[in-house]
Amino acid sequence: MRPFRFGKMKKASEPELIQPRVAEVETELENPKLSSSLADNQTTMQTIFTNCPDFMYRELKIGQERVPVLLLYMNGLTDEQTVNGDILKSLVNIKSSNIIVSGSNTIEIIKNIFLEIGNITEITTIGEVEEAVLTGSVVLLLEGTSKALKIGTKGFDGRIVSEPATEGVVRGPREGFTESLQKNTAMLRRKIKTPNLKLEKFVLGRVTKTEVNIAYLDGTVNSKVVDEVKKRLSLIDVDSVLESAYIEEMIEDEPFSVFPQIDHSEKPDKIAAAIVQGQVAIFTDGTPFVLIVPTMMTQFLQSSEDYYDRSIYATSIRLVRFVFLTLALLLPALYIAITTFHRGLLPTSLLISITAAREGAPFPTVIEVLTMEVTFEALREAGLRLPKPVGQAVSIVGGLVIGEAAVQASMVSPVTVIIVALTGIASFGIPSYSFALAIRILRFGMIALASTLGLYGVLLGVLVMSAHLVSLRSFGVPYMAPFAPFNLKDMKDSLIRLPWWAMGDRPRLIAKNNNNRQRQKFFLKPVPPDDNEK
Amino acid sequence: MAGKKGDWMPEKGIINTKQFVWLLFIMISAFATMQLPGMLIMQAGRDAWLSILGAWLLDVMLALVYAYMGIRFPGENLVQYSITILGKYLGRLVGILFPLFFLLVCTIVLRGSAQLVNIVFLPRTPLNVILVTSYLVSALIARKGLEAIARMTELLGPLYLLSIITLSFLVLPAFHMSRLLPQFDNGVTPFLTGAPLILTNFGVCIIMAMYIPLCNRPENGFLAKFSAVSMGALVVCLVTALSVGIFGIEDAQYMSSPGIQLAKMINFSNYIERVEMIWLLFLVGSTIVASSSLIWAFGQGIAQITGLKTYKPLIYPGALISLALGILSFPSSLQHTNFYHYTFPIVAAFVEVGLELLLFAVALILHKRGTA
Amino acid sequence: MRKLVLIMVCLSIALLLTGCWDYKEVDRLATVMAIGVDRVPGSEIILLTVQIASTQGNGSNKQTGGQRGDGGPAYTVMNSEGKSLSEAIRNLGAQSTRRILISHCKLIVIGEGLAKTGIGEIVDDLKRDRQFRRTDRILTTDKTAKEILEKDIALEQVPARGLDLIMQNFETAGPVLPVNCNDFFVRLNEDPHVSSTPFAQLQDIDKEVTRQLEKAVGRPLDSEGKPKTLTIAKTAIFKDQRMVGVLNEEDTRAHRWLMDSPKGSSITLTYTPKAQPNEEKGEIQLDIIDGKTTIMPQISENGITMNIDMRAKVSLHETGSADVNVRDAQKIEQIQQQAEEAMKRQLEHTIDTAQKELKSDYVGFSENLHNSFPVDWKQVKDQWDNIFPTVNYHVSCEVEILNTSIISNPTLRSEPEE
Repeated sequence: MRPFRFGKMKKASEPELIQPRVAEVETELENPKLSSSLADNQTTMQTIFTNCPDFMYRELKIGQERVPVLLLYMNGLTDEQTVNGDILKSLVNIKSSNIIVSGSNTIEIIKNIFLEIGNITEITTIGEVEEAVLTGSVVLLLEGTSKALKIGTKGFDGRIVSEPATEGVVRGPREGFTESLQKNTAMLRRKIKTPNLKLEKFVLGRVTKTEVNIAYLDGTVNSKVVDEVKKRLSLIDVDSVLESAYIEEMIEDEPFSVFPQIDHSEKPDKIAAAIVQGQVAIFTDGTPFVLIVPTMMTQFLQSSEDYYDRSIYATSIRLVRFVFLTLALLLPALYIAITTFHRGLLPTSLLISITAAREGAPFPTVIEVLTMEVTFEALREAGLRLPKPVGQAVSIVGGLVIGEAAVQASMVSPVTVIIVALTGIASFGIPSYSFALAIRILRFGMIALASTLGLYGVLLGVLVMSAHLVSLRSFGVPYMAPFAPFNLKDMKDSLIRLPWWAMGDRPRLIAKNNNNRQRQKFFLKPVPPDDNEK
Repeated sequence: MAGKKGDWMPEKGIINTKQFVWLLFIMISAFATMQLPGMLIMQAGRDAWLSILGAWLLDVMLALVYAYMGIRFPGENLVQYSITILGKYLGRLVGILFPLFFLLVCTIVLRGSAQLVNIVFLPRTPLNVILVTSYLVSALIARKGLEAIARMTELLGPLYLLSIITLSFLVLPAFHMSRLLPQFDNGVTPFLTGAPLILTNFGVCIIMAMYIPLCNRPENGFLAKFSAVSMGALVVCLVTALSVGIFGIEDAQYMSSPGIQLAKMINFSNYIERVEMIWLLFLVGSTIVASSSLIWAFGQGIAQITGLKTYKPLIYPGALISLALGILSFPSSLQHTNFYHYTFPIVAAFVEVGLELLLFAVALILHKRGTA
Repeated sequence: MRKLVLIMVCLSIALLLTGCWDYKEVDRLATVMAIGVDRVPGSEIILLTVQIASTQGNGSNKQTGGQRGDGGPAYTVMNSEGKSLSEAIRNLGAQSTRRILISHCKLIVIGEGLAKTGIGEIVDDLKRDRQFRRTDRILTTDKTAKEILEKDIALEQVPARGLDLIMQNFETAGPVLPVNCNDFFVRLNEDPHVSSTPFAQLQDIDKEVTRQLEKAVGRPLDSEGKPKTLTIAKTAIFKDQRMVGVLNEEDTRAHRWLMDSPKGSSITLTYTPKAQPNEEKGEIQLDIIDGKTTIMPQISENGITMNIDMRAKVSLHETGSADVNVRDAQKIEQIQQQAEEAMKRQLEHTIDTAQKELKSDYVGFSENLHNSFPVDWKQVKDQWDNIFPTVNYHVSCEVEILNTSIISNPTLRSEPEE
């Protein structure tokens, strides 16, 4: 009798981006084993790496038996010192020892006795050899055996750890992630020293073979979220993954939403905090930006510094950010709606001065606001992309043009300039750039609605927007939580931030298994020593 | 992208009790604060606010029946249990009246709010434009499902309540107790006739019977309804009492929306004034969300009558029918007010009280129970 | 979802192309600050005067910084006529290049002609039009509204704003009971159908002062003649939509005591101690800081009696030249008694005026009777106009001096202390 009791809450049709391909079968077919003949293997590898001048192979004869050995590696991906010094030297040293290196166990002997390298694995297929060479390992092939040794010598120059440009802080750690995945996960490990911190490896991108790691805190994380992340990641089948944004767009819940549904950061402390409260981080090789899932909207209005400042200040700054958000979204629309539809809302003297300021203005208010907004966006974009010194010049010229000349020449009314400038300042107040982008786009929609239906139009816009927001989910967590659905306990870290000693629980909707954030008593309010006890 | 959601959602139920309360609150207060106080004052004079309290009591009693039916037929909504009780054909015949009633209420609410926007704020904009946009947004929200509507009300409900309380505080300086006195000036007749009028409006929250099966704790249905109707009664009571205390009964009874007139009275230290538009935004926002849940209930009910798998295809047609009704059946705001005042209470009393009590009685006599 | 987005986009484009029905730039609007309504007795035509805030010559390219540097008037007055108020407003369109915006209007001035012939016609329009507000203040004048609205007010650029500020000040302190449209309408609608408005006059205060000074100094004063000054110190009484009379300054004050509260007004009395008739007399001024008036009806065989009880807490503000030792409790007692008597006299005079002269219940008797004795009220309701002049009343006042401002005894003594 109840044909659709629960099903109706889901989306009518799941957006389908990619059909998963059955990859395993292909690998079986296209991944032949190594041959036991060294010459055969060498030809195969040479054919694979035709026209790759950076592909290096070096033949050696090792031991007193002069067993032929082939070293394969990519020039520039390996650490030259390790290849020359450690590997070659130890192979040459075999001769001076009196251990016999021939027969079936040669490869074990070389691996276990001679190579002074930590990271060695045995591989057996051509595909693995190919992958090992391409990811910067040295592969050692031996005559008479169908096994090869993959010697981890990855080493190329990367950026050193530096302060991230996107998330500046006054107080708090200044290190930022780099482009190297290993370095990044190591930075995370340095912060979370428990074996419960699990990292799972994925290789995405048929051509780029980008390594992707998901990191989570076992025992704290909601295992269903982890499964979901793994499932969504395993369904990705593209040729390249060059930045975490590729992944982000392919694992979002609502692909057509203007709102970002996955947060990202390049600060290890922020990622560590997210993991500790039960979120999953997705590291991508080649980019310092690490994704955090699941994400709620409040996260975009929070900065990692909120947790390092005093809670009262953090709370007030968050409230201010909320005001900024409203202003950035609605101020131009409200200005248009109020001055051209609902003059009654203005104080009389303000109305008169706005009227006086507009006297003789050539364009309608809407056009004025739109022009100024577009100019502002152009200036911002120009300042962002150009080299720094030029960018500054652009800002100065822009400021002069917008602020002074346009008003002086009676092209725009000064009030419009104030409104646009305020909007601009407000949009800079939103800590998350990607969220600010969404607000920037929606602002124009609101302007359109305001200029047709006034505040009523703005109301409709806000209603549609909030209907969309409340129906969004990020990996099963309602986007607008803890406001809708309302959760009083989770309010402690949303618009307000309670002091650390009062934040006992992890967010209810994110962490499932372990609800004690500090693994201590809930109420840790510091108590000064009682003078009477002395 | 892929990835099944829903089967492991962190929320257990579809809506929780808090959301249930706000859903009902928005439903009651949006419907009842717009035009009702004026009519009520016409009917009950100075005793209007008292008859709201009377209606509150009656409505709570009615809610008992609805909550009981929700528990007696677990997992079944209004339409479903009317089919269970009265059988396949008669049940459908009776059951279809509920969704149609919801659509009628939706028509009245949205037409009322669109009229208000049109007359007071956008006088040169055609009424139909305002109606069409309202319906479009309502239908859009309705299509997102009850969960989204519930969350909207959770955001909007507290704001609306707060806006009315703020409004009350701001107009308090203009309030004259002497205009509200004396009570029972003309005996108890005004009080007694006023109570049923407002009961029919409060009774719109029979829509709770559509929510109960989707609530994570259906046994809280009565509690939710009780808190919602208490808040709703408080809100309407405030607006009514303030209208009488400020405008006197002579003026207040002919106001098409005393609430807006109250908001126009705001003059706080000669600085915060002319802010009625802001209050109207809260009111219209609430009516739009309330009608989205009415349209949702219509779609849900009709889908169950016809045995459709999902209600979604019914949302836009439902909104369209309601829109057509709203445009065609009331040539002017006068007809709308008259219909709302004289005809609607009869229809509403029949559906809200008559039909439900009939179902209740038949269920008791035939010892019908839910199966789940 | 995509279809929906498409629909939304199409709709919004359609709206953008066809919409903006109510869109109007602010510089295409004429902001009305006050309206004045006149009527020539015997004629049907409503004569409308509107005061519009002028923004011309204040353009963005001139760096005037909010101050009007070019010296032009900050307001414009427009006139029109019509068979009704709304028609007259529509007729303004014939001369105004800008749409008339009334929602900022805070003041409605009613000319004497209209007030005496009946304001019924304009009341409906004031209630019905969405742009008028019930918080607008209402003002009656003994001249025409046109004269009032064309009058400059010292210190204010826009006179309407000045008038509004005067009335705002009355809200906290002052002799006149400020009335907004809402109170005015509601009182006219409620049972005795009596209401009041402040009453504006044009007075030649400047000439009067000059004349008296000239008399004193015995030569023409070296001052330029100034135009008449607008003053609001009286109250107009309306009954059944017609102005029936004007209360003078003293009655105006007592009217406020009865209808609102004594708070904020002041009384001046001549100090005449009974015990020591030789002591010097002087004008004593008392500021009423706090107070309350209650009117308690009482019904007996003799008919209806109104017990008016007024309590005022005052601050001694001026003793004039009176050599009065206010630190003496007895003296304070005397002053209090005198003040009580003065207030009582004043109230009685005002009530007598209401009962005998104007025959209108503007003193709030019926309201209190209705609230206290709803059943009895119903019987007298229809003949209230006849009964009201015969209603007995009893006034009792109580004055309490709370403080003597920042000094106690007057230090200006007529003779040096021994």
